[in-house]
Amino acid sequence: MIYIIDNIANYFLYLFIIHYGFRISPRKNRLFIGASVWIMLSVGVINAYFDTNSPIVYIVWSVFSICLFFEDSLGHLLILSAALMYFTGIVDTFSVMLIQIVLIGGGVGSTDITWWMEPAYLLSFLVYLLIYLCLFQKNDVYLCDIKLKYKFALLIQGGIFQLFYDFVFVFFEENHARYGLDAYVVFSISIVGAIYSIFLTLGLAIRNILSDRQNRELQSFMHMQKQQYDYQLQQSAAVRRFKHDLVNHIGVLRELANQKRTEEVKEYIDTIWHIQDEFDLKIHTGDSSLDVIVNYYLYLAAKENIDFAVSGKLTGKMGLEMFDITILMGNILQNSMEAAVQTVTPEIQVELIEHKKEIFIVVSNSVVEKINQPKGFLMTSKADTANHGFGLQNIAATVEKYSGEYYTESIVENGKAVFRISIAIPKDGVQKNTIPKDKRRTGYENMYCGR
Amino acid sequence: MRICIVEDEAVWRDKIKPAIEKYCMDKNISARIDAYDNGKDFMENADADLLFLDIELAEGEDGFGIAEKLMDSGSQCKICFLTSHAEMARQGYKVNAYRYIDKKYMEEIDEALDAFFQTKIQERIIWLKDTAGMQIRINLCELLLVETSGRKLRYLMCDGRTYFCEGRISETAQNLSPFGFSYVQRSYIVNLKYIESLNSHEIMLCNGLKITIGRVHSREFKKDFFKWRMLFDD
Repeated sequence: MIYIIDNIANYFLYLFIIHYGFRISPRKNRLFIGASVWIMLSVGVINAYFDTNSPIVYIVWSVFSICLFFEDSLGHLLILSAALMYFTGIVDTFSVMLIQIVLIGGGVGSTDITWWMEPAYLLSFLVYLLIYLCLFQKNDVYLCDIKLKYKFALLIQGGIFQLFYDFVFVFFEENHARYGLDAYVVFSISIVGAIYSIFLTLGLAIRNILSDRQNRELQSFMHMQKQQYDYQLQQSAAVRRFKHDLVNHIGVLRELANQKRTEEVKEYIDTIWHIQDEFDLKIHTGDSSLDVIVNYYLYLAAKENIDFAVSGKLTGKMGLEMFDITILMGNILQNSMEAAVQTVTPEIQVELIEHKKEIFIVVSNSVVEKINQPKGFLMTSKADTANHGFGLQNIAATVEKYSGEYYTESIVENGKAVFRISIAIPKDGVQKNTIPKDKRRTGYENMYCGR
Repeated sequence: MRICIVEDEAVWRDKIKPAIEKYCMDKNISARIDAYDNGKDFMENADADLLFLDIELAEGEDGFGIAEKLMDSGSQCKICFLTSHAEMARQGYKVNAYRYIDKKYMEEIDEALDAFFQTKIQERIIWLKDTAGMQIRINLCELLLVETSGRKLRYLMCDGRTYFCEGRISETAQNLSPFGFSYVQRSYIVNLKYIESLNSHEIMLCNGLKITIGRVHSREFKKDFFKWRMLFDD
């Protein structure tokens, strides 16, 4: 029986780590899932019947079950399941030895499965949970984001750790009478040190991801700012030109007025009026920071022949910092421009809705075809995945910062494929990192799509 | 339903009124449409549901002033301000309006009307047969929730009336979902209008009833509630 429980526990552990750590979704075909469960259970039964736990059988069923359960390339799943088995095997064995020593003292020679191995697996599971909660969930990082060099370092450190505790446990089993307490203390400290170094590497890997993320955010902000600066520069050059021409215009008008050619004067003024109209901001949203971005994209859209419309007004500033508005709206509009420009009738619509407590921003753009959003994680549809897909992450981070909510949908409206992102930002603009948790708006923290 | 227009310039009045009339005719909506050339006349009989109001009126009247007076009188009327390009440039608006419509873009009126009539989706009556075979009349506005009760469905109204009807909850949820109802849990459909507060796992209705959000329905419910909040300003 213990074999079956053991198999089920391991199976769930692998599914948990692969799904939440590596963002891989299960297969849609229930036949595969059924086969995966069936293999796991039947191997448990076979193990129980023959009363063995052969590593070969264990490895084969685990790899089979994992490959059958998840939708991903076979090579990736094979490497993943092998690496996971290796790493979890190390932690499991360590827990088993530790519990064995605590419960029955000394001996680690026996490999028979007994009742006290279950608390040992529970201990391993607690270690994984601790890692997940303290490092991954806290920083919103996934295992798959970790760079290869760190993953490799972790596996090697795991190996060293295994070698070390194997040595320690075996050494003490044979020589426990020969050494005093000090040796035990030294070895305990060394084992703790080995575990600590694994945590340290993991922490470093995560900090690396976080700083990369921040860098990307800053880079994208800088890029958008640069573009807007160029645009402003262009505008001011146009204003200077107009100012320069103004003297000539006045000269012409004076001449026309002298000759009493009033109709022509009117016509001339109308023309100049039209030119100066060009310098005005075309869209007024009510928030001056938002105006800058929206008008910039209006200018870009006009260049690309994209139909760009903004409806709705705000009664005042949004309560978001300039930096955040740029990141939020810049990313949204940038994404929508890139998608819309590929369509036959490119369109972008921005809708601003202000309510008493929240501001809603809805941006819809035409797309070539309806995207079948994989359940959960929408990353990027662009070929260059290494440099794309962060737009949505930046949007999510900003929305989350203000305790907001956002949804994306890909629909067909009036026969046209449309991608739409809807955002709600609380009007008080509560920033998460400055307000104690219990004072925040209730319960919206986990309401984002894709989480 | 009464829709009013306050606009001092006859040119615009004569454009806006027919546009609204056409919209109502196309959508088969019965509404009384009145146009006024000044705010004073309108305020004498101000019980409108939707008002298209010019910002700068003749004789020094100000649209914002009229709107403030209207709001102070406790009116639930939604106000769409009519603006011209020059006024659009004015930054910051004093009153939280339903819409600001640029007179140059008359199609914005249709959009405003679309959004306005969306908010009226619950103003309809449905007829059901209760378990005794009696026809009962249910006003969706007053329906608080539907829950399973054994093999029957229990319709609970805001005033405490209850009706028992035959039917399957999943089908009922599907039928009610376009009208601001959400299938929040295996045995509950709630009227989104009556949600008083919520957190990530539970909602509280206006009568104090707490309902746990079902794990399977959580995503869909949150989306429904988001869309509802987007349409209605509590």
